[in-house]
Amino acid sequence: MIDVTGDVRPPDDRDRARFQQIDALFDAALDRAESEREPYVRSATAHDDTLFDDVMALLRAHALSDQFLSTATLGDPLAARLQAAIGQRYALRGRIGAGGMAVVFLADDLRHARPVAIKTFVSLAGTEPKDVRALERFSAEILVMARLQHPHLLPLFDSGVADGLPFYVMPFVKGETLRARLQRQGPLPLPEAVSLVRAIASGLAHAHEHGVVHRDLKPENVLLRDGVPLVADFGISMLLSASDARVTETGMIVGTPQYMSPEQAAGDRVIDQRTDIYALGAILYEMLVGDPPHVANTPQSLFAKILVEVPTPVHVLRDVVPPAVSRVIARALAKRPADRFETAMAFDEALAVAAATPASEPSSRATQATVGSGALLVRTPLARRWLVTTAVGVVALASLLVWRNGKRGEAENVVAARFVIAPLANAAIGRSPTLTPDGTSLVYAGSVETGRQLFVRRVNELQATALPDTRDVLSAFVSPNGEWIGYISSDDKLRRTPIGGGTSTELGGAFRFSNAAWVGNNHIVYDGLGEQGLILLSATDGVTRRLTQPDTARGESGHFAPFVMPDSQTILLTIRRERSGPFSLSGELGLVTLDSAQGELRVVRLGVQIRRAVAWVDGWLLYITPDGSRVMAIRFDSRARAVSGSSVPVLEQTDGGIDVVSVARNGTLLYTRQQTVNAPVLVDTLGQSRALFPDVTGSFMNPRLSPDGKQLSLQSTSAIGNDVVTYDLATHTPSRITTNGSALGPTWTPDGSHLVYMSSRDSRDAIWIEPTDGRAAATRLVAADGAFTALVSPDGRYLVFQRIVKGVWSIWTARLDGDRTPTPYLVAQHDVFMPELSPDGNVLAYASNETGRHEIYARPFPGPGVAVRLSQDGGVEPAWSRDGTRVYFRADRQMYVATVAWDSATNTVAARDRRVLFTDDFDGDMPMPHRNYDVHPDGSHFVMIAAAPGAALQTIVAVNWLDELRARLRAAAVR
Amino acid sequence: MTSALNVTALLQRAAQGDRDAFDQAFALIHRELEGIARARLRHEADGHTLDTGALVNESYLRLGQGSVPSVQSRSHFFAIASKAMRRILVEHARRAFAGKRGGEAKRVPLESIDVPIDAYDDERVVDLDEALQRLASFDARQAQVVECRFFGGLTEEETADALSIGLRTVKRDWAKARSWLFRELHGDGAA
Repeated sequence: MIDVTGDVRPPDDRDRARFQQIDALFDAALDRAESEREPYVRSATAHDDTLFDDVMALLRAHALSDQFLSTATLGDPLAARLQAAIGQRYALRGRIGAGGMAVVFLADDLRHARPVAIKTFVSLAGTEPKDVRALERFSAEILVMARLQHPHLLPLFDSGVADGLPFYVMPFVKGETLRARLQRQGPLPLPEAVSLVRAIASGLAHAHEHGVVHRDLKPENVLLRDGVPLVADFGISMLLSASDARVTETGMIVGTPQYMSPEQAAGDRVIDQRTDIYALGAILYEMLVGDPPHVANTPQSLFAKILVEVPTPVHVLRDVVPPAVSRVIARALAKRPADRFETAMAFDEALAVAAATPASEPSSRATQATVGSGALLVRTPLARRWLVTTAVGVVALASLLVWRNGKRGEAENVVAARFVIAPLANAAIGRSPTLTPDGTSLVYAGSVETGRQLFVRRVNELQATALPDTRDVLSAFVSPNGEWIGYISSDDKLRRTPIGGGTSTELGGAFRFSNAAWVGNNHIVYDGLGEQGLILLSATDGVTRRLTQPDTARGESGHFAPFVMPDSQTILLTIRRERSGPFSLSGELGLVTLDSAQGELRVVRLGVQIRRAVAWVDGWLLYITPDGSRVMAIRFDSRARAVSGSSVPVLEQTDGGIDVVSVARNGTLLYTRQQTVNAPVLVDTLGQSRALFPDVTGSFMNPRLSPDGKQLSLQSTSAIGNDVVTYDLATHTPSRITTNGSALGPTWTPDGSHLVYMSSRDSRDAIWIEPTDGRAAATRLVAADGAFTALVSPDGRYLVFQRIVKGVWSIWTARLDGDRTPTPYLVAQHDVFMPELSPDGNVLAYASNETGRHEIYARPFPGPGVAVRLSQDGGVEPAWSRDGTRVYFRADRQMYVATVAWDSATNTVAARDRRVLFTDDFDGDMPMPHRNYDVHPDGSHFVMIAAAPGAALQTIVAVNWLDELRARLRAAAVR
Repeated sequence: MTSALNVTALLQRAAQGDRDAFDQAFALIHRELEGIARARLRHEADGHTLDTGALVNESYLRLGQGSVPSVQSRSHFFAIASKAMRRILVEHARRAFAGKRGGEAKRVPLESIDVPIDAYDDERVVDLDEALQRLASFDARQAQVVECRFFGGLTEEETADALSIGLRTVKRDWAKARSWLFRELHGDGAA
């Protein structure tokens, strides 16, 4: 072992200063064009020749180090293989890009002493000899294309098949693709978009005249060299489609075929230049609007849209675009090739003329297009089911839902309007959005090219203002007078900056993940790295004071998550307990009162388990529950230093949990939630899955098929909370059963006429029942704190439900033919949950961890009788087959089935065998115990939930939320 | 299952500023990565090399299995995994390098991983690690970017997320750090 650490001399301050000086000049030089760098460095270093030499040395190294470390390969087998085959002519220098099917290398062309890019098709490696001949034939055709000479076509230098690897060689272009440009910048200015498209059209016209059709034109294939477009990969799609049968069958090339023409989508084999014209129209559409003409979640539905749907005209989405340009694009995008421009030249000319016409007068259309969307639901008490229409496209404000209803059940239902704050271009909502105390603006760390800058945005506007002199911001908090923003950056510094913009002042060090809050307008309290207690920092002179120290004698291990009361004297905090482990995110609510003394303060414990305190409204303290799933309110008197009464749920979010909550004086609420994106899928008994509803993704759980197998109910999580939605399996039509954001774990009644679910809509945990045809309102069946999923027994006499009491799950029943009093059925020291009744109602299957591991048991119902274990190596989420002979369950990412028999004479249950059905990679393992799949009545397949890409942190703003909160609190007070 | 719960919890704790949790998460990820690398290489033919990005991703899938970590903890994971990958590679390289200097055979049996990397690579990795330590003493962020990009095999976007910095910063730091390291290791090509 060689000890190298001793060889490294720690740099002193002078070394560091020198490095920073060189680094800054190097940085500034890189901002300039290559030819201007040396003169710039010369002038900036004036008389310091050493400095000049150092910076120039880095610039020289920069020119040479383009490929240095650029591959994370400590060796690259593919490169080795290719190099061995083409070593006479090319010297590979490293990978510069890789896609699904191709890898691009930078290489030196040894014969011509020039850098080149070599593209090789990994997916075609090792094809059969027959196909190799086909490859060679197409290589020859590619060489014909290589003779095309045009300023906007990227030439092909060479191509071939080396050691079974087809490759082709093109010039190495420094620059970016049009795709990268669009991702970086979003929609382009009209004149630039038009000029790019006209240049591409001239290149296409040249190729078309020589009988060459591109067939796969897309922004990824357009390179920009100093802003000049170069079309690459001409005819390559032909090479690919000819050698890969799978590709030929579907007509699909690589990735999402957004730019595919209708004739390609239809699988038409006769493709001519008008396919390229369509694609160019689609590219122009995206350059102007930001999205391609058609967007869908699956290739199938995208094909359908390409074939049928007419895209929204460009000038409707962007009003600076003249309607004439919009019409030119529409013609290029015509479904029938005969209705498009005949040649690229004709397209180019029409575009030139149209671009010279004036745009329409600015109208309200654009505003509507960005703001009004999402699903708007209106309900009258006895309304029939509504169909939910979903809007296509990305909008600034989605899921706008305003709903006020009079008496329903027992509670007054008031739901404030909620907005999902969508990211702005180049400025995604960052980590710690917060409201200004007056509620008029939100402050967040947004991602911009230079780092995470602070942004201030008025709640009712879409424009955000970047605060200068802020960078790499992780979290922010606003002073009570609304003048200062304190923030923590990724350099672990705590700073403040004026909200109106100005210079940031460094206040001190704080670990990047500290929680911090203002105490009045001059102090900040935070929990910090290596600090077990809270620290108070003066924002004026940076002096710190240790406020609290955990009382280890009383089992405390830390104080964190400070929340400052409006009196700026009382600080609430979370006390971490030693025995709950060092990883606990929750603990007991504690309180300290600031005084003028300098010592540490005594922490008063308030006896409530919380994750963190977040707001104080009308004498109620709002806090996030330890599991992060809801916000609860409890009466709190800061002078008496005590809480009273019981906690009332005021905001639920089972999906991913609530992270940040901020309540402003004007009643506006802001919170964030981690949104899961998934979809129900159909899985056969071998584990093969397919989408149940193409195009439908959401945040779903708890799928349940209706007894007749024709409907599927799901718990669907939205900005407002959890609701029950059903889908008709034949028509894919969704119906919303509930809309108030508080309905969890729906199950069907045995006759399929009602759904039973848990709700705390009247501020009390309860099981509710609601008819699925909308002819009557929901009614409360049983109220029981901690009740979760419930089911009705086949004979309709029992309600069986699971319930969490003091952190332990147990199974309860209530007699529906009696007084419905909740009665304990299986209650133990350990968890007993996930009850499932057999179809005849005689056996109850459930999960229990009495052995220390979750296993599946079955016992006669209602009993008495002996429980038998069905699982051997663990199990959760039991479900019955329709004939009552099998119980399915999940364990260790496997789906199992066990055979079960009940003997009516002896009232005993026997388990015969168990086996693995399939590997189960579908969603499960939820924070709340519930079965996240269902078995089809005919036993041929399962409905499961599969993750879909696109999970995101959502920021939700509810205006006038205090009305909703007060209604909830009033209802609780009445009780 | 246990490790999945632990690593998620640890990352959350680390996200709350708990450095002990960070260290424990690092140890856990380091162990997992090493295990995957060992298993992988046992089944590969001689001459195969490590695809660090794939290893890091696989370790994430294994450790993150069954849990639903937040975006932050996922990014945090990748930053930590890159650091762990660096340590693993450098440790291997050192042992192999030391072995070769001692005149042993090309394929050097190592304590934990039997990894064939040629002498140049071993030397280069050790040199790079040392240069990177020097760079870190001047500009920690540039060094972290190299850690993520080179050792962790992360893309520029993933690096930006992992380090909570902007994409442009990643690109610029990456270019500057490469220039600096290139000059340290190879000179700048000037006469």
